[in-house]
Amino acid sequence: MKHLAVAVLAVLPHMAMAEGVPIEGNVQAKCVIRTDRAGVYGNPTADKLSALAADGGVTPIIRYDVALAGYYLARITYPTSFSTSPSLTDTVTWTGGASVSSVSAAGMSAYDAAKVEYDATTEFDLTVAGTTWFKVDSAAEYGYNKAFPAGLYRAIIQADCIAQ
Amino acid sequence: MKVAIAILFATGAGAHEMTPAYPELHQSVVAQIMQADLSLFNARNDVEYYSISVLDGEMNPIQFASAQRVMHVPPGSRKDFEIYIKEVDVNRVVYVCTTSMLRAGEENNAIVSSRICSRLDGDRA
Repeated sequence: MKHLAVAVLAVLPHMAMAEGVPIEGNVQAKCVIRTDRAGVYGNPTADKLSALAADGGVTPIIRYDVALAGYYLARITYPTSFSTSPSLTDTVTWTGGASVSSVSAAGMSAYDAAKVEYDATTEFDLTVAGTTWFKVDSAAEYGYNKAFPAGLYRAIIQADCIAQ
Repeated sequence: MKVAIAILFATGAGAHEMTPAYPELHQSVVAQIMQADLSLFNARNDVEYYSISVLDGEMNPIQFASAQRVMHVPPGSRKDFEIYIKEVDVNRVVYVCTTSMLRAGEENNAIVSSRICSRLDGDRA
């Protein structure tokens, strides 16, 4: 009887070691927004601020990751006002837009052709799973050939990812 | 004519993620109040606060309750949260969104505002 008890005790740890350790995962519809590249306004002429490289600026890049295809809309709105600026006494005219910069899957190349633009917003239907990088153009012109006053200018881009 | 460097985006890269895409509304512990459970992951180094909003199909705000309207989510951390809405509003409610909060006046702070919206009115339309 004593030997049997010892044998059982000796086997028990091995039984425990034989237990499987599960690893579970769950793939679900998910959207992640990243800001990949800083944007900077260039000042090509006294009355203009522009994020275009040709104007001495840096075009910002926003990255969208979607885990499953067809579940989200990307909605990007370029700035229509400064969040920080010196005092401005004249009107500022804003222009801009969003377009695909790079893609992780070939099917995403169609996003630009299918995009919907209204007001300052561009909407993309994220119909392919993976990563899409969008560049956002933005430019501001002050008055009629009027020089922007010296100071720091800052504007906010709104990047939305909306479940559909 | 001098114009200081004008910033469109700050350099703080990072990510904003919210799940699930289609949270289910379920009965809360309070009668006639429905609840949805969500989770937000903040990998943005430049943002620590996120606001919650509940919206109808036209993006108009709808009354809701939550432990906090503005959540403190330190970079690299996840926060689970619940929203509560009145049962009578269930048919109007479409989106629950979290929006990154940007601090005014901080020149090195990020200035991309990210918003992610999940749908409360059922699975993919």
